[in-house]
Amino acid sequence: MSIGKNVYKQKIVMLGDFAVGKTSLVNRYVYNIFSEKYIATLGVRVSKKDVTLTLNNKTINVTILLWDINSEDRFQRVLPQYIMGANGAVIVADVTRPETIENLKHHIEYFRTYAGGKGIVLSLNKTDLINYDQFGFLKQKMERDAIFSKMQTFFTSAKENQNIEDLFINLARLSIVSKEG
Amino acid sequence: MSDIVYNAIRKRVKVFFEFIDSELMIHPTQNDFWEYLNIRIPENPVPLTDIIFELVGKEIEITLLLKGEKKSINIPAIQRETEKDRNTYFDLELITCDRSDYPLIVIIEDRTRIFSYQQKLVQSRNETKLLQKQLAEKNKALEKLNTIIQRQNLDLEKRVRERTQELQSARIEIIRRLAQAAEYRDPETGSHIVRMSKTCVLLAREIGLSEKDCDLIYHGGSMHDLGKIAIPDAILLKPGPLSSKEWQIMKQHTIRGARLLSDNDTDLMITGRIIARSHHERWDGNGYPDGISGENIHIFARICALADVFDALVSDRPYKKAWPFERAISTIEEGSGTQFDPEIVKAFLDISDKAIKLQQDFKDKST
Ligand SMILES: Nc1nc2c(ncn2[C@@H]2O[C@H](COP(=O)(O)OP(=O)(O)OP(=O)(O)O)[C@@H](O)[C@H]2O)c(=O)[nH]1
Ligand SMILES: [Fe+2]
Ligand SMILES: [Fe+2]
Ligand SMILES: [Mg+2]
Repeated sequence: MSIGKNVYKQKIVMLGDFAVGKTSLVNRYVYNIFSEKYIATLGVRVSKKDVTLTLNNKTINVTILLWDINSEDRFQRVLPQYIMGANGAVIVADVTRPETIENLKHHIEYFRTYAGGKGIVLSLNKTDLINYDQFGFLKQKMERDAIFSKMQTFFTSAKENQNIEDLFINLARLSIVSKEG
Repeated sequence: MSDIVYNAIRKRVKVFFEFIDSELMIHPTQNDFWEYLNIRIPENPVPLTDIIFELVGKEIEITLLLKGEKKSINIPAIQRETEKDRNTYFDLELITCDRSDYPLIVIIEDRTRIFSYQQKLVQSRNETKLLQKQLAEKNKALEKLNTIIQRQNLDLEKRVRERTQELQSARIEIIRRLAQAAEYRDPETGSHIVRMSKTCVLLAREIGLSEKDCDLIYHGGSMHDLGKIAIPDAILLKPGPLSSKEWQIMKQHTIRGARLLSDNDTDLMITGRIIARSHHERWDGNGYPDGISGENIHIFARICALADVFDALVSDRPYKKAWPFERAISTIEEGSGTQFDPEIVKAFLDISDKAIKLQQDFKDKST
């Protein structure tokens, strides 16, 4: 649903384990900043970004509302209110922490429970911290996985601004298509 | 309620609200609401989701709310940077209102204090987890390094062993050559040393010495007359019998030999020293240079004494023909308990066949 003339408003949620880089991806994409310092997110912080897409030869203006959400632990849950009404999700893992990649499945599941079959892209973040061999190994692992192989996966680095634009633009496209379809 | 009291309570609990019309436009009526959000008060109504963009995506729920099918919409713990570097947290609530012009009210309740505190808890908890992980990784890396170092150590030890081995064989080689040099000047013939040390090994093995000892006695035995290097030709090569003074000098070859092999405490050198010094001692104590007896004479020297004499008896010497084996063997037997250790004589009798075979295998080239 769009409010305003010819402007799509899209709610995109960021999900993933703690410290995988959800906030950093948003900060890089929306404000083009990066900080080494880790500040755990509590609750939700919504950032806006206006983008122009071309889809089927049509130019579309989209306002992306990025929901940077806390990770889940004993003190805090990812509330269903945060996810309901989302048009898509970026689900993030840290390539240096294998358990965060395994947990992607849990987050995918959770998102689908409250948002239905909306667009999801995966971000395997912090690629600046691994070498070429490790990267190849990971790529293979993702391609061989029954669930991951069916999803759009982006190897990103918030620190070095790798693949960030691609990640969000592709998700915006995906969610518009899934919304209209 | 008086305005003063009302405002005081509102300040304490920090709850702000604003009115919304049926077109979902927010109306600027409450100054403090806009103040709190740090937004300039608009002159006209603005679309609700322009201000409270957290409500984008809640359109269906809002419709339900307007229809009375839903009581409220809640979004807890919203974080906003209302001023640069100043984070605020608030809970958001959208409820219905019984005013016909404003069917909805948006309420925000400031929770900055409690959530800032909670943020610190989460922060330290997560940082601890990350640190634990880093530590575990460092540990793993250290362990890996440790095994590498251990492997390198083993390698080094092996190399040291190899080098020691090399040095050891070089040393043996030098001694062999020294012994050979001594031999050139000695009327005793070239193969004497070889036969004698091989006979020593036969005896050593027969009385049950270890293989290491057999090896030591083999190399050490070849040094028994090394000290003859220091004996003048006039005495060493004298065709006739020696005067008693000359004999005293001749006997010195034992001590001279031992001295040549001093200053080095490898097993081999110690063995060579013992044999060089004591191979002329007798079981009954009438030998030289120390006149010691019985088991005071080192077992290596006792063995060499017998092997040395046996080989001398069965070899040609400038002053005598070689004795037949039987005669030599019975002479040795007669020396049991006087010249030789009876145990070693017994062993010799048991291996005499092998000793004879050895004599034949390593016969002197015709002189
Ligand atoms: N080297 C590197 N570090 C990164 C990258 N992205 C994030 N980080 C670092 O990872 C840490 C966590 O980043 P955040 O963006 O706060 O992670 P988060 O997923 O938002 O964490 P929570 O809010 O606790 O769930 C920070 O110290 C970042 O500097 C990256 O691409 N490369
Ligand atoms: Fe001698
Ligand atoms: Fe001799
Ligand atoms: Mg965060």
